[in-house]
Parts: sequence; structure tokens; C-alpha cells
Amino acid sequence: MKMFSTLGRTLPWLLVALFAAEALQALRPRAETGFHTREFGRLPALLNGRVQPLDSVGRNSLLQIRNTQDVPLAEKKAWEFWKHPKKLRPGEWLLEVLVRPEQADARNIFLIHHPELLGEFKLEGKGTEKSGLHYFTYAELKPVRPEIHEQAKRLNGVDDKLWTPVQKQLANLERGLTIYERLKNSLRPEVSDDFAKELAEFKQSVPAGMAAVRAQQEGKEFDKEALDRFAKPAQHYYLVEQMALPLIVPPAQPEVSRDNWQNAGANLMEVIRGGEVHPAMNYYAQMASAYRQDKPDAFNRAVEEYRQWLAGKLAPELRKSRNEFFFNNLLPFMRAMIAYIFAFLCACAALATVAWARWSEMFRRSAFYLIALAWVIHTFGLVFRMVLEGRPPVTNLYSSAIFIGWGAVLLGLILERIFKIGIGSAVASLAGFITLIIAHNLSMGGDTMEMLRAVLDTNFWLATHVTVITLGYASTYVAGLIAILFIVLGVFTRHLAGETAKILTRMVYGILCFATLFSFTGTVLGGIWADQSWGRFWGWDPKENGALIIVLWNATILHARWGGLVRERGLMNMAVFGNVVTSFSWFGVNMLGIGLHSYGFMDAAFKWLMIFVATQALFMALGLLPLRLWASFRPTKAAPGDVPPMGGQEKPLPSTG
Amino acid sequence: MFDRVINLFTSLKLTVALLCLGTLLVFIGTLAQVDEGLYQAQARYFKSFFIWWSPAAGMKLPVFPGGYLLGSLLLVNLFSAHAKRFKFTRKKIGINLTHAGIILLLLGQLLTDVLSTESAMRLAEGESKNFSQDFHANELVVVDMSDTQQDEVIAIPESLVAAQKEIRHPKLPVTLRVKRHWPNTDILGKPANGTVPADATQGVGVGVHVRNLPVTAKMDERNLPSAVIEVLKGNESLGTWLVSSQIGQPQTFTNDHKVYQLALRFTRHYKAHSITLQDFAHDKYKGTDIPKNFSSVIRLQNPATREDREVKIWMNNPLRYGGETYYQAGFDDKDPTVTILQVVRNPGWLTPYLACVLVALGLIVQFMTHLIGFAMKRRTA
Amino acid sequence: MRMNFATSGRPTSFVQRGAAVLCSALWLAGCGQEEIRVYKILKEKPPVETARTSPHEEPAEDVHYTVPAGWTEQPGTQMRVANFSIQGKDTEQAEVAVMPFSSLGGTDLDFVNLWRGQVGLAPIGEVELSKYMERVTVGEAAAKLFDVFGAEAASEAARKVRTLVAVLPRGGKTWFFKLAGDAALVAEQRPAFLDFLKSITFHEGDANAAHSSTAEPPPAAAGLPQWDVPGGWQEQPPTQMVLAKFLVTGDAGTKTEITVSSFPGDTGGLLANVNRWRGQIGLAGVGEAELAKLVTSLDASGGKATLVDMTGTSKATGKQVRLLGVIVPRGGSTWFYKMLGDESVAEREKAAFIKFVQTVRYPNV
Repeated sequence: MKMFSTLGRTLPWLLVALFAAEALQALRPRAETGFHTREFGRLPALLNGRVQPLDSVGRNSLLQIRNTQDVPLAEKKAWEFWKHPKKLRPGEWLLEVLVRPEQADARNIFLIHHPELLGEFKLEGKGTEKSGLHYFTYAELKPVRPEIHEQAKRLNGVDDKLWTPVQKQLANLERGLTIYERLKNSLRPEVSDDFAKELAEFKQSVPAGMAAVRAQQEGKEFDKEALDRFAKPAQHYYLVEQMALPLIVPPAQPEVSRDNWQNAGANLMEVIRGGEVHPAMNYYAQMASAYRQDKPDAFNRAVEEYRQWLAGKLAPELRKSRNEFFFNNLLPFMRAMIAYIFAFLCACAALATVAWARWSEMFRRSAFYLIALAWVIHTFGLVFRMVLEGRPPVTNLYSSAIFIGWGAVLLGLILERIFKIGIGSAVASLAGFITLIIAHNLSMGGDTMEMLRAVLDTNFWLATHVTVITLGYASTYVAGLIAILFIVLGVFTRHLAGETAKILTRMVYGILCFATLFSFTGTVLGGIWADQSWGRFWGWDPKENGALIIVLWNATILHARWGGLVRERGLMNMAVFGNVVTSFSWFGVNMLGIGLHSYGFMDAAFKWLMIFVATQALFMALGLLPLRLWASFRPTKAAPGDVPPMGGQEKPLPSTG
Repeated sequence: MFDRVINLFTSLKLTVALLCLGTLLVFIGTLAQVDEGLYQAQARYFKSFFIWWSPAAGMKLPVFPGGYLLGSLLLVNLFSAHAKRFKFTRKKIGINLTHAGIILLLLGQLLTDVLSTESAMRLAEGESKNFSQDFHANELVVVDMSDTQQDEVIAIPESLVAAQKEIRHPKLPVTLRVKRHWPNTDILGKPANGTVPADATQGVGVGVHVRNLPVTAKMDERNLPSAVIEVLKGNESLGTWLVSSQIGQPQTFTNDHKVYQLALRFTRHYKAHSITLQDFAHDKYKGTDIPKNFSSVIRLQNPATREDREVKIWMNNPLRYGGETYYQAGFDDKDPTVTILQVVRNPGWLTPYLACVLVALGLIVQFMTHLIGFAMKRRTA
Repeated sequence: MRMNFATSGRPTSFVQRGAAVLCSALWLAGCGQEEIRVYKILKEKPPVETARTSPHEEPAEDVHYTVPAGWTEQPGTQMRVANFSIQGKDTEQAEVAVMPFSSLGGTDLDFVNLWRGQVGLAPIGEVELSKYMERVTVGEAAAKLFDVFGAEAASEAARKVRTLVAVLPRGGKTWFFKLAGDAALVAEQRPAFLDFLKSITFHEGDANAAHSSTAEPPPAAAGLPQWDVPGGWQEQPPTQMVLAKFLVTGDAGTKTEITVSSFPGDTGGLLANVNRWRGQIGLAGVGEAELAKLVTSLDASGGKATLVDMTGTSKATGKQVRLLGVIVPRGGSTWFYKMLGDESVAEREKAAFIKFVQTVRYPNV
């Protein structure tokens, strides 16, 4: 027995130590051998209006092309979790695309899964299949590339809401191909071989070449050879100027304008106009040549020299991109998500073993500590993002998911700290897990740190209105989740037969009060913001209406409770419906595709929303079962006294109305 | 009887029913925006007493309470509940504050709906205007230009024109007979598919053709109505004109040696001051199409107060002047020198600010008393 | 019932008051603003030049231009950043002035009537205004050109003078470009004036810089031009050397292809390029003398262009093909527009092709 109690006390801590150690080892710096591609991935570039590491450029491009953050080099089955095939990290992949396009052309990165599309472009039997998804290489698509472009062109001018699934995938494919083709021409012309040498020759050819051009224009004798030597690379660089995607050449005079990044081609064309090749281009050219010629030392030296050069005038940009690289590779939300799953299992185990108090307590503690650890990692990621962006926590749908999860977990932890019955932990871990899964899926859209449109560009309102309303969402969800637990535990187990039912009711009521406070204040603050920026407090815009519905619904629940119109069970059912209402406000209104602040139309999410609504309806249907069918409240011969007075005798909570 | 009415109006059941209906109404009204457009749905669901359904032409059935009805019933409910049960105790401070805030908010919104006007000012750099336009409303104007100092404007709302009758007014020296009216049109120089001849005998409408277009409810589109107006002096016709919000140049008729301008145009709101656009900036993030910031530098001149100053208006930073607020609303895709300022007159603009403070304070007080009570109970338990 | 009212005292009056407020508000909401309004507004006054121009205008922006032949540059004045005189035949004289004014109010009509007033003409109305207005370009920007011509003036003197004014609102200022003088000379100088307007470029803040008319032409274009693609042209993905490519399909599935490319310099001159094209359709090269017969001159948006129209045989198919080419030298680069393909399709699309070339909008170099 003593041994058991020692185990019961130490096991939760051991579990936490295990997860903490795993997270900490990710912080440890790693030495690189061969080509220092991680160092390369830390170099800054400007894309989407913001400075980011090349790692992010590669990562966000891959997300848009392949829906993954890296390129696996060998296939494995989805269930073979013990296998870790070698992968190309995003920075590595980007380097390959930039410098060894012929090798990159043979990577399985283009995702097509609609059979009609496969048929149309005669791709059946080609590519690599993995769990129903077909991946193709650029080389495989090259023969049908003009046709794809031709087909995609037809979508121009067609309202994207009318697109069929095939058309949507076609548009995605075209977008992915365009990104890829532009990336290939982002550092050097695709046809280039020894770029450093070519660049040096080009620089030398400029004076004579320009003289020849001028002479030719004036109708004088000119050096045809000099003209040719200069005109050919010039045409290639012109193409790079047109095609390049990230702007990799930093501002020449950062003290004048930190915004003035250029793409590689634009900088090279400047040479023709009498300008200078930017030092960055020389370093990049050296990297390109060294990588092509398989000279790791020369490559690593060029990267290091460029890094040192940047550390001069461009130290802030360098710091930012290195920090973002660190953040990208730390994967805090992924780590937190895994800890939440384990914690949820522990919490479930705690509820299942309630008859064996010690076991139950051990699981409950494990869950609680693990959630606390996961929440710390979650908070670390959240704060790191905020610092990177220089913004309050919520700036887009992705970050709202992160923040709703954060708030919900916090509330759950507080509840668990107060009531110590495992319910708070179950709710916290489930909320954390689900919201991070949602965030993960939202991140598939590309850059999650994109710049804010003019109207949203105000830290004051983002910090007040957006944060408060998001906490309103989080608390409504927590109330709804507790209500679901109440129904499930009540109908299927005898868990609620004691004090628990009352405690849960109290929890839901208290959380709903907070939800009302947050959602009301947040909504009105939103109105005031709208008054500041559009000139009307309330415009019945879908996003505003969504928030209003939450306020109205929460107020309805509270008044119904105060008026004695509903008791425990009714309260729970109403709270479950709160989940539906909140999801409509959070996601549904964005799907309407109208209004001033919709984030964009997302149809894949619509399917999930409908599934979610269906599950909530199911819970409510369960909740509406007559009490005698509930396992917890069924009169039993063994303990008739256990049945709490669910009927008319229950005293309503202290009325405030 | 009266007691029962009072009891009904003060009951929490009514509150819950109204809140439930409100939730439903907002939901339906939001979904309806997809088809009907924001403006239309707003009028039909929220700024109405009933939502009407016409199962057949000419029939109208009220099927659901509208926003005004629910809002005012909620107000009555709140008022009467407090009137009946009002007690000033420490325990009730929170709830009283909250409800006072909500009353203020609802009344403020009612006030806003009734008294606020929204219009826009479109200015190119260097351009100056002393009026704003409401692009959702049109008016038929007859302008008496005979005075050397002032013009007299007689503005007839489009709804009266749409009735297609004769328009008379004591200030109007002639009778206007509306021969045709179209709510949304396109005017063409030559006949095309679906056009009808304008049948004007005077002005720019002679020989042009009108195509009737469906009325649009989209946020980024406007209706351009047209009408054919016969000007009558007694029984004598002075001619027939085509007027349209699409026609820019003014048309005139002469009556008793006085020249009058006749036009159908977006409803104008004149001001005592003028606004000149000096500079409009529209920045995008480097290498993207994401707007970073819009700002208009304007010169505000008011001869009455001798004001003449420069003001910068940008996103989230409006100018409040003369009871009106000027917001940076948009720009013209085609002309980078054009700014669009939203002009709102809303006497109730401060109410939400106060209401928000009251309600938040009330809720915090209320829930904190609960929480503290709960914590105390646990400690002693 | 009455008793209830009386005894309930204050709270009831509360209700009553509330109801009264509510009812009046609702009544207001119900009646709306659907009635005829009558109001007076001040007449908009035409602007007075001197009153609105501050005498010390900081020269924040400077203009560069090409001076047409026969124009003599005069020193600028406080109001005029550029000033020219033109001497015509006999005693005919005209002057050109460039004047920026800050924040000028007033409509086009006001300006025109002001200038009409200066030469003793009666004011006109808005409807007539369109007769006197046309659209021109000043540098890259669209502007309005007003023609104030006293042909119908009462006095003999007024009939002799004519004023052309281009108005360009730009950055909070309104720029006026005025050509005024003897009617005959103004008419004669009109094309030169329009060219002068096209040559205008604005430069931020270097008032002291020399008014250079031959800025170093950058040899390569800095960005893709914009164009309106004619109906029936299907855009193709561009290839290495080709900036844009279109395909037009004829009735019998015959095709013709349109390509746009641009290269720095003049790439060997007209003759070399025409001969290069001739080679592509199996024709022998020509000399300078025959070249003149092959080409016609064309006015394109980018400047003077050269059109060549040839029929030969396709090397690939051996069928008869037509080649229409336009060469536009512009800003140190040469732009090539080529339509090559089936004879009948080419004939059908010729007009669209030429219009396309003429309306291309080049990016700022």
C-alpha cells in the first residue's frame, strides 16, 4: 500500500518530467554537418510584406503547394508511426528549388486528388499515391503545364463562390505551380549553372555592353560581341526580375528605408542602369555556385559571411528572422497539443476509475500537471508569436483558435484547482486539443503571420475588443463542454449521483456569467471600434451579428435560470447550444462571404461545422431524455438516497434578477 | 386585467422569450444578407416592426417580430420590471447598473436609427465640396438659379417620383408629371437588347435609350434610377426631359424668364463648411496588395467661423466636426487621387460608450459579489 | 384600474414616461424623411486666380520636358515654373506657360469661363463645355485640354486669339499648361504643344537641377506593360524570351499566334529585325531600299512604331503564313509585337492586333 502511495505521488511528476524534457531538448542548439542548410534557412527575406526567414518562405510555400511543412523523401503508411523517413526541411527544399531546380523538379510535391482532374490531364497511373492523395513531381506535370494554365485561365472572372470542387482544386494546382515556378527564378535564372562566375562576367561586360548599346542607338559602329555578351544574361535577369517571389536583397540604405527590399532580378537589372550589385547578391551567388558544385565548405563560408554582413546594419531584421526560425522549428503548439491528448486520456482514466479513489487521484493529478505544463508551452508559443509580430494575441482566424484554446485551458485549470474532481482537467485538455487541431488546419492556408489590412492595423482595438470577445468565445465553449460532460456522465454513468451534479451546475453557471461579461463587453467594444473606423456603432454586419447572438443567447440562459424556467438539465442543454451559437459566430459568419470583416470563404471548414453542429444536436437529444433513463438519476435499489432532487424541489441558485 | 398586463410586461418569462426571439431574428437576418444584401436585409429584419411574407401578390402577412418590435418590447419589459420591483440595495447595484446601461444602449440605437444620416463625399485631389451624397437615396431636384447670390433647391425624394404621379409643391412654379420611372437603369446612345427609347423632347435625353436593370442590393453597387419628366405650366407642356442619376451634366428649363435646373441625382446634404482634398495617400505593404494605410489630408474651411485648417483623416481616426463625423471609407480603384469619405451625422454617438461602461461595471460588480460570496463560503466550509 | 395607477405612484409614472419617450421615438421612425425639402445654397463662385495663389509657392516639385523646336525658353516667374515664347510668321506670337496652383477650388466650367472672360467671351454652360474639352496625356497621366477660341467672339481682337489649357490635378495642386497667342500660330503649334505635354515628367524636390531634356534612357523596361486583350485571344503561358503570348483560333481550327517581347537596345536596327522575321517565314533578306516599301509607320501609345506585313511559308508546315510585326522603340528598349499564323485568321485579327499594340500601357521606366 505504501508503495502504491509513493507511485501515486511520483508518477504524475515523472510524466510531467518526461514531457518537459522532450520540450527542453528542442531548445538545445544543434551542430550541423555538411551543408549548413539550417543556417541558410535563418537568412532574412521579405515576403507578404514582412521580413521572415527563408525557412518560413519555404514552409509557407510548401503548405500552399503540398499542404505539408516538409517533403518526405520516402513514403510510409499513415499508421506506421514508428517510422521516421528522411525529410527535406523547408529551408533545405527551398535551397534546392532555388539552386538545383532539376533536382527539385523530381520531388513529389504537387497534390491532386480529384479523379476528374487526374483524367483531364492524363495523369492516371503517374505520381505517388499516399492514403488516397496523389503527389506529382514538376517533371511529371511539365508536359501538361500549358493545358493546366489554359484551364485555370478560364476561372478568371468567375465568382469563386461558384467554383466546383474540380475548379477549386484546379485553381489550387495552378497557384502551387505558379509559386513553384516563381521560386525557381527567385535567386538566379533557372538556366544558370555557375552563377557566381556568370555574375562576375556580367559585371565586367556592362561598361562595354552599354557603350555598344549607345553606339548602336546612335547609328555608329558598335562592338557586336560586347553587346551579345551583355544582352544575353541581361535578358535572363530581366526574367528573374519579373518572376522572383521573395525579395531576398535587403535595402541598400537601411537607415533611409527599412522597407526597400528588392528581388534578385531587380538588383541585377540595376547594374545596367549604372547601379551596383548588392553585396547580398554576391553572397547568394557564391552559395548557389558552391551548392551546385557540391562544395559544403565554400557554401558554409558564404552563408556565415553573409550573416556577419547582415549583423551590421540589418541586425534587427537578422534577429527577427533567426527568432522566427527558432519558433518555426520549436513547434510549441504541436508539443502542447500532444501533451493535451495525453492529459485528456489521464482525465478520462480518472473519471473511469472513480470507484478506486487512489487510482483516480493519481490519474487526476497526472492530467492536471500535464495540462499545466502544456499550458505553459502553449503560453510560451503565444507570447513568442506576439513578440515576433509586435501584436496582441489575436490578429487572424488562426491566432484566434490558439487564443481561444489558451483561454479555455486556463479556465479549465482554474476550475480543476477549485473543485478537484477531474472535470476541469477533462474540459481543459479537450478544449486545448481541439482548438490546436483547428489552428493546425487553419495554418495550411499559408503564412499565419500575414500583415494586417489597414482597418485592422490598430493594436489598441486588437488588444481590447478582439481579445475580450475571444475570451467570451472561450468561456462559452468551456461552459458548453462542461454541459456535454454533464450529459454524457449523467446518461451513461452514475457519476452525477452525488454532489457532482450540483458542482457542475455551479461551474456552468459561473462560467456563463463570465462568458456574458466578456462577450457583451467585447461586442460593445467592437461597436465602438466600428464607430471609430466606419462611422456607425452597429451595422448589422455578419461578424457583429455573430457576436450579438452569443450575448443574446448567454443572456437568455441566465434569465431563464434566474426566472426558474430551466433547472439543471435545461441549463446544460442551453449551454450545449451555446457551442453551436459560438461556432456560428466564430466560423459560420466567415462562410457567408459578405460583410466588411469576413476573413474569407472556407468551404472545407463548412463541412466540419455541420458535423460539429450535428454532434451538438446529438448531445442535446441525449440531454432531453427523461431523467429516469439517465444512469445517474435512475432510482436504484442499492442507494435510493443517492438520487439528487432533480425535480421540483431543487432550490434555484441565488437569484440576481 | 390591468394587473395581468402589468404582470406579463414585468415577467422574466417575457424577457426570456424576447431574448430567444432576438437570437433567432439576428440569426435569420444574418443569413438573409447572403441573398438580399446587407442594406436590404437590415431594413427588412432589423429596422422593422414585423417581417412580412407575401405568399401571393398583394398579400402581406406578418410572420415574425422585427427588430424594432423586439427592441421596444424589451425596453418596456425592462422599464416595467424595474418600475415594479425597483429597490436600491447593495446586492442589486450590479444588476441595476447593467440594466440601466442596456436601456441606454437600446434607446441610443433607436435614436441613432431615427436621427442619424449616412452619406459620402467623393473628392479628387484638389477638389472642393460643401455637400455630401447619399448613394443609397436619390432625389429629383428643381433648382431656381435666378438669384445672383443663392440657388433655391426643391428636392423631391425618389419615392415620390416612383409613385409616377404629378408632383406639385407651393415652391414649385410648375407641375412635374412623371411619365416613366425606373429604379435602376443604364443609358445608352443607341438601341440595344432590352432598351426602350427615352422619349424625351428636350435636353440630353433626346434620342437616347434606357435599359432597365434589376435593382441591386450589393454593397459595392449602386442603383442608378432614371425618370421621364414632363414639365407643365398649367396645362401647357414645356417639354419632356429624361433625368437620371447617370447623367452628369445639368439640364435646364425656362419658366417665366427664369432658368431652372432639373436633375435626378444622389441625395445631397449641404453643409456650412467646405472640404478640399489636399492629398490622398494609399500605401500597400511592400511586395503585396494588402492595404497598409489610407489617409486623406483635407482643408476644412468655414466662412461663418472663419475656420481654415488642415486635418488628416485616416483609418480609425475620423474627424468630428459640425455634428458630423468624417471617416476614411475608401478609394477609387481607377483613380489614385480620389478619396471617399463617409459622412455620418449621429447625435446619439456617445450613448454606446456610456452604456458599455455601465454594463461592464454592472456585470463585474454583480459577478464579483457572487464570486466573493462563493469563495467565502468555500473558505468557511 | 385607475386606483392602481394612483397608488403605484412613482414607478408608474416611470413607466408612463418611458412609454411616452418610446412612442415619440417610434413615431419619428415611422414617418421618416420622405418629403419634399426646400433649401437655399450659396452659388459656387468661380475661383479668382490671384486670391488663391500664395505668392511664395515652395517649388516642391520640378518638371522636366523636351522643348519643341522653335520655342524659346524664358526665365520662370513666381507663378510660372516654365515659360516659353514662340515667334511665328510676321508678327504672330504665342506663349507657353506651366503654372502649378495650390488647392484651387472651382469646376472645369469655372476655369473655362474665367479664360473666356479674359478674352472677352460670354460664359458658357456645362452642356456646351464638352465641345471645348478633350482628353490628353501629360507625361503618363490623363489630363483635360480646354480650347478657348474666340471665333464666335464679338470683337475683332478676340477672334484673333486662342488659348489651349491642359489641366492636371496632381498631389493637392492643379497644374496648368497653357498655350496662348495668335489663333493661327496656336493652331500650328498645337501638335508640338501636345508632344511637349507628353514629354513632361515630374521630379520630387530638385528645383535646382538642370531642366534636362535628355535624361539617360534606361535600356530595359522595368515591369510588364498592361494591355486590353481583344476578344477571342487566349492567353498562353509566357516562355523564356516571350513576355506574353496569345492564341487566336480560326474557323477551321487554323491558328495564329501573337507574341510580345522586349529587349534592351535597338537589337540591330529595323532592317536586321525585319530580315530576321523574313527568315522565319522563308523569305529572302531585303536591303534598305526595299525595306522602305515593306514598312508603314504607326502611332502607338509608346511612341512612333513601325508596322511590317509579310506573307511567306511556314518552315514547320510548309503552308502559307502571314506575319504582322510591330516594332516599338521605347525608353532604351525595343518592344516586338508579332502575329504569325494562318493567313485568313491574321487578316481577320489585323485590326484588333494593331489596336492592341496602339493601346498598350507601358509601365513607368
